Amino acid sequence: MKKISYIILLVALACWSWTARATAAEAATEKGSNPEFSVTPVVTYVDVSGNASKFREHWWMKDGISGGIERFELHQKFGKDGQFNVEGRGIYNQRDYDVRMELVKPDFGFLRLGFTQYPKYFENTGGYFAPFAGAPIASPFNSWDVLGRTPQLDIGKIYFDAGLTLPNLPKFTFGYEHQYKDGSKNLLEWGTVRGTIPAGPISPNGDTSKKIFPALKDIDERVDIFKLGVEHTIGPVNLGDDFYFEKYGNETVRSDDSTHYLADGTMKTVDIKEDYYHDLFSNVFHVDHHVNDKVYWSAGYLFTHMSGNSDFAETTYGSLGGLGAALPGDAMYLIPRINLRQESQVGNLSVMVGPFADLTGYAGAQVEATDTDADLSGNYGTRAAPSLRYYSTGLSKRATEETAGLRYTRIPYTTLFAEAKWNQQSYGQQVERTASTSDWGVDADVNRQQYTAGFNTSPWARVTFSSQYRYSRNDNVYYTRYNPSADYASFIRDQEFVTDEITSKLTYRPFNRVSLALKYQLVSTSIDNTTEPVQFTGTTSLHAFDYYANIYSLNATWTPINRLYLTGLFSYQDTTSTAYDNGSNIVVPYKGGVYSAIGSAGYAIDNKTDATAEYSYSRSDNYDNNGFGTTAGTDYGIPYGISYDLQGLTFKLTRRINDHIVVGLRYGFYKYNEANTGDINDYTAHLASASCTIRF
Amino acid sequence: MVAIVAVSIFAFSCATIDRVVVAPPMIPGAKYVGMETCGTCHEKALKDFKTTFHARISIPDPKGKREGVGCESCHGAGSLHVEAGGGRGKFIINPMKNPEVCFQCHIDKQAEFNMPYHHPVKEGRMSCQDCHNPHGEDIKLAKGKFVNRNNENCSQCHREQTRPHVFEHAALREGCTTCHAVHGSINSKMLVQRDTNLCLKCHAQAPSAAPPAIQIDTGGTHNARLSQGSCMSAGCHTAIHGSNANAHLRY
Repeated sequence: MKKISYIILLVALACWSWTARATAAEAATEKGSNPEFSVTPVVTYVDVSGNASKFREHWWMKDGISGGIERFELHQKFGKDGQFNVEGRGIYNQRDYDVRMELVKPDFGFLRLGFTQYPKYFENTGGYFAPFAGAPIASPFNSWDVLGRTPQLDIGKIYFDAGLTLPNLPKFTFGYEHQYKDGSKNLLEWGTVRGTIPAGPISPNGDTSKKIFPALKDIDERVDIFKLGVEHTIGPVNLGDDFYFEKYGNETVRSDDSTHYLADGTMKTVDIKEDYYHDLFSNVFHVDHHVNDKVYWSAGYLFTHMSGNSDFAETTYGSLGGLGAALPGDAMYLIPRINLRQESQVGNLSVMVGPFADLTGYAGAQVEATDTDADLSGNYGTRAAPSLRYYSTGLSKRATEETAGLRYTRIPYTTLFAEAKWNQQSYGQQVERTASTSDWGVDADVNRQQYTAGFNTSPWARVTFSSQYRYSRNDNVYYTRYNPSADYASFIRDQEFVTDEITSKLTYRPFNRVSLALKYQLVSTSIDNTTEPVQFTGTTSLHAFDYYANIYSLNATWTPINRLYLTGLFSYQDTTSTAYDNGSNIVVPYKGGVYSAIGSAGYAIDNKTDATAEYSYSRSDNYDNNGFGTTAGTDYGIPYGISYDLQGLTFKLTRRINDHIVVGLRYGFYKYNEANTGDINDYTAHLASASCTIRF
Repeated sequence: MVAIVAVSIFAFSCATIDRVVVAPPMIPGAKYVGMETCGTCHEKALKDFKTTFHARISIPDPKGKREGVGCESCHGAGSLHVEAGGGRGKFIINPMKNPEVCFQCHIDKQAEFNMPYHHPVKEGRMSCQDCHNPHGEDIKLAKGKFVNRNNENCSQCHREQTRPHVFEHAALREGCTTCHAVHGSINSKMLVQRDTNLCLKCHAQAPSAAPPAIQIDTGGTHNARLSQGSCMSAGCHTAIHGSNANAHLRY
C-alpha cells in the first residue's frame, strides 16, 4: 500500500510541475500564485497496561511507537480559477494512510485521485461468566490470545475521477474505485464454555454451559467500481445519466461455534468458509427543471441488475482433540454452488412549489419493483451420511412511497413545517425444496406512515427555540404457507410498530461570549404481535416490546477573555427496553442510564504559544446480573447490559517558532473500567506525541 | 496537579497579547457577509439551498439583520474567505473535515459518538457527509445507485450485510437502525440492545404451554438455549443478516 501512496504522490508531483509551469507563464498577468505547502511530521508513543485490544477498539489506534506525516498540504492556484490541491497523512506503524490529489479548472474539467486506508481494531475477548472465573485453566478462556490471534481489519479504497466540464456542452465524468477490507474481525456469535459449578448457593450448578467463547471472522473483501456519467443543462432543464458497474468478491472464514471444556482445556471449533461474488450494474436517468422561481420538479428512473454466486462449507475441527490440535473432523452443509439474481426498477417524481404567500409545498412519489431469486444444491448431512437437498427461492417486492410537506414563514423569524410520508410494500416469497410435499413461503403486506410537525422560532436575536413531534406506525401482515414437512416458516401473523418522538431545543446567547443549547428528546416505541401459538390452535395477540427513552443534552461555550475559550457538553439518556417474557426469569428488562461529558479549553499563553485540553467521559450503569442467582433450580439467562467508565484526556501545547515552523507536544491519558467483567477488559493508557509543522 | 499547572500557566502568561482564540468551529477574525455574497461564486449552491431540508428549518430573516443565517451558519463567517479570493479551505469551514459544525446543533449525536462503539467520525476517518447530505433535497432526486431505497447509506460500506441472500432476515426490511444505533452505542457492533430483548421484540410468540417459558415456533421452549446466550450470540442463529444455507439463519 505504500507503493500506491508513492504513485499518487508522483502523479501529484507531475501535476504540480505542470501547474507550476502554467503559473510561471501566467505570472506576468498576475493570474497565478505561489504554492502553499505544509507538512507535519509526528512521532507518537502509546503505552497500555491492561486489555490493549479493548483500548485499540475504543480509540482507533494501536499501542506502541508510531510515526509519519500527520498532515501534509499543497495548494496552488493557476490560471484564472484553476486549483491544484494535494493533502493527506501517512502514519506508517498505524497502517493509516490518506493521500488525495485534486486538479480543477472549472471551465475545463477536473482530475481527482486518492488512496485512503485505516485500520479498525476489535477486542479479542468474548463474554464473561463470573462463576467460571476461578476455574483451573492455564490461559484466559475468554480471549483469542489463546490461539495467538488479534483481530484487525484494514479498510481502504483507491479511487480515480476525471471530468470534462466545458461551458455550454454536456459534462462527462468517469471514475474507478477499488475498495477493500482485509483482515479479521470479532463476532458476537460466541461459542460454548462448559464448566462444573460445585453444589452450593449458586444456581445453576453442576455441569453448566455459557456461550461466552469469542469468535472471529477472516475477511478478504474487494469491490471494483466503474462509473460513467453525463449531464447537460438546456436552459432551466438539467438532464443526466449515470452508469455504474460493480464487481464484488468476498472470501470469508468464520471460526464460529466452539466448545471449550474448562476441566481439561480441550475444545472443538466449527469453521464456516463462505465465498461470495457478484456483478452488479445500474443505470439512472434523471431530469430536473426549475420552471420558474416558484416551481421545481424532478424525475428519475433506475434499472439495476445483479448476478452472483456463492459457495459454503462448514467443517468441525478437533472434536475434543485438545487445545491447538485442530484435526479435520466431519463436514456438513457442503454447498458447492449457490446462484443469486436480483433485478430492480425504481421510478420517482417530485415537485416543489412556492413560496406563495410565504407557503412552500413539496410532494413526491416513488415506485419500486425488485425481484430476487436463488437456487442451490448441496449436502446437508455428513460425509458419512449425505443428505442432498435442492432449494429454489424467489422473493418479489412491490413498493410505493409518497411524501408531502409544507413550510410556512409568514410569522416573523419563525418557520412552521409539517411533513407526511407513506409507504406501502407487498412481498411474495416462494421456497421450493426437493423431497418436500409442497412449497412454502411467507407473503407480506407492509404499511408505513410517518407524520412530522414542528416549528423554529427566534423571537429575540439571542434566543432560538425549536420543537417537533413525529409519529410513526408500521403495520406488517404476514401470510404464511406453512409446510411442516419442508422447513421453517414464520409464525408471526401481524406486527404493529408505533413510535412517538418529541424533540425540543433551546439555544440562548445571554452575552456575546456565552452560548447555551439545551436539547430534550422523548422516544417511545411499542410493538404488538399476533402470532400462531406453538400448537397452531389459533392466533393470539401479545404485547411484545416497549422502548422508552429520555435524552437530555446540554452544550455550553464561554469565551471569558479573548485568550481563553471553554466548551462543554453533557448528555444523559435513560432507557428501558422490555420484551415479552411470559413469566420467565431468562428475559429481564434492559434498563439504565448512559452519561456522556465532553469538555475542551483553549488558552493563548502568549503571542506564540497555545494550550488546548480536551476531556471526554462516558459511563453506563445498566448492568443486570441475570446469569446466575441463589435460587436453586431456577433458570437464569445471561448477564445483561454493561457498567463501565471510559475517560480520555488530552493536553496539547503548540508554539510558533517563526512564520514557517510550529512545534507541538501532546499528552494523552485514557482509562477504562468495566465493573461487570471481572476487570478483564480494563486498561490504563498514556500517550506522548511530538510534531512539527513546516510551512512554505 | 492539573490545577497547579493551570494556575502557573495563567500566572506566567499575564503579558498582554494581541491574539484572539475562538472555540472551534469559528474562524478567528472573520465577519458575516450574508448569503447573497456567497452566491456570487456559489450560484448553484445558493439556488439549490431552498430545496434542502436544512432550509426547511432555517429561520427567515425578513429585515436582513440577523447574522450567520443560511450558508454561514455551517460554513462560518465568510469575510476572510471572500478577501482571499475563495479557494478550498481558505478561511472557510468544511464540515466534511470537522464534525464540530454539525455538533453545534446535533448535540445529542456528539454524545453518541462519545460512546465506546461508534463510527470513526471524531477520529477523522469518516465524516457526517459520508451518510448525510446537508445539501440534500426535501424532494427526491433520482441520483445514486439505489435512489433513496432502504439501507442505501449503510450498503455503501456494508455490502456483505445488505446484499441479497437465499434466506433473508426480514428485519432488514425495517432498516438497519432497527438493531443498530448508527452513531454510537455502549454495545459492541453498535447494537441498540445487547441481549435477548433485541430479538424477542419481534420474535416473541404467544405460548400454548404454561409460563414460565420462552417458546419459539416448533422449536419448543428455548429456555435451555437462552439461558446460555441470546439468539445470535449463542452460536445458533449466527447468520443474522441472512443466510445462503439455512432458512433458520443458522450459519
